[in-house]
Amino acid sequence: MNHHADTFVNPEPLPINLVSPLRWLALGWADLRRNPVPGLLHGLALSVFGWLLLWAARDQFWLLAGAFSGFLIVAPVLATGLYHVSRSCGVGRCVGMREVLQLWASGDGRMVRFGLLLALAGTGWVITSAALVTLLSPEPIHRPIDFLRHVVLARELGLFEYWVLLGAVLAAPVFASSVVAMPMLVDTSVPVNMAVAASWSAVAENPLPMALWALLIAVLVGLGMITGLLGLIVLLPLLAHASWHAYCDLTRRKTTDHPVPAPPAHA
Amino acid sequence: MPDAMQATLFGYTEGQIAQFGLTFGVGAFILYMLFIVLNLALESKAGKFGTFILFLVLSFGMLGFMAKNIIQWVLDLG
Repeated sequence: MNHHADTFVNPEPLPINLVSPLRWLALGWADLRRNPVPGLLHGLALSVFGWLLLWAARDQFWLLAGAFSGFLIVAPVLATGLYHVSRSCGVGRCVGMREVLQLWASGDGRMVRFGLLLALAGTGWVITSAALVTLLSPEPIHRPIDFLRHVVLARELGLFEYWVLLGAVLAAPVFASSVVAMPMLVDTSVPVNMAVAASWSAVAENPLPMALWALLIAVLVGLGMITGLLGLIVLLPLLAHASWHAYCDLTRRKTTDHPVPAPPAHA
Repeated sequence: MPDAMQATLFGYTEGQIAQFGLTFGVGAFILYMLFIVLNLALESKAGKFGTFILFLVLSFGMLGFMAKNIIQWVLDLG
């Protein structure tokens, strides 16, 4: 059921600086507290999916690595409903799961296409990282424990550091393509290529804050994972709501170029 | 030499001090590299997107290095 929130703060977009990522997290946290049910249900559903993956692929490292890195790359698509929740919070409206599910059911072809492109990027990462580890690892890596023992626990600097650096090199264009694009696809009717171009442009205009934002996302997702995926129940919706506020700040100057639909006047 | 006779400083063996030195030394070195990359990025014509890539890659590398040390430390404790 939709209803107007008693109190709401419609944050004005601010210039981007190194504090902005923390501001986005704070605004995301406020959205999550204001309307927690859709976010926590998303977080719970994704964590349960993660537990099922862990159980199903517990002895097959590359399948597990592929599934989890693919999940991280496709996560912005899975968060689309929460962008809508944050957008509605901004105009003082608390939407329920029914409206979020309606967004999912709309079957917007642009989001499906973008999700497939992200999945393709995830597959590329798994193949590339498998090649790197297979080439450089002293022992064959088949199970998660092999990766832990021969790559993570290797005392000398080397394979693990290369693996992380390779991941960062591949993650940079994916992050740059999606950080603004996905909320923009939810918010406007621009085609995928324009949304991606706007995303790259926003990242190029604010390189250091965006690198910090990417790092914060990685740290928070990592923290969520080491809690046995329990932390992700809260952290995933927090990041999704925060991503909406990142989009609002980052596109502030571009609203005249790609006008967004006027929000309904709030009571 | 028996272990009991091994020289210690503040209760730490030479090997442990060397490990701390490596961990914090490399950490400090990475921070210094971050500073150098910032200067290079500001002065070079690599462009702002290049600055983003440089920072992302370097900071992820630093994060990976720290994560590896923390994982090793936790598993050694266990």
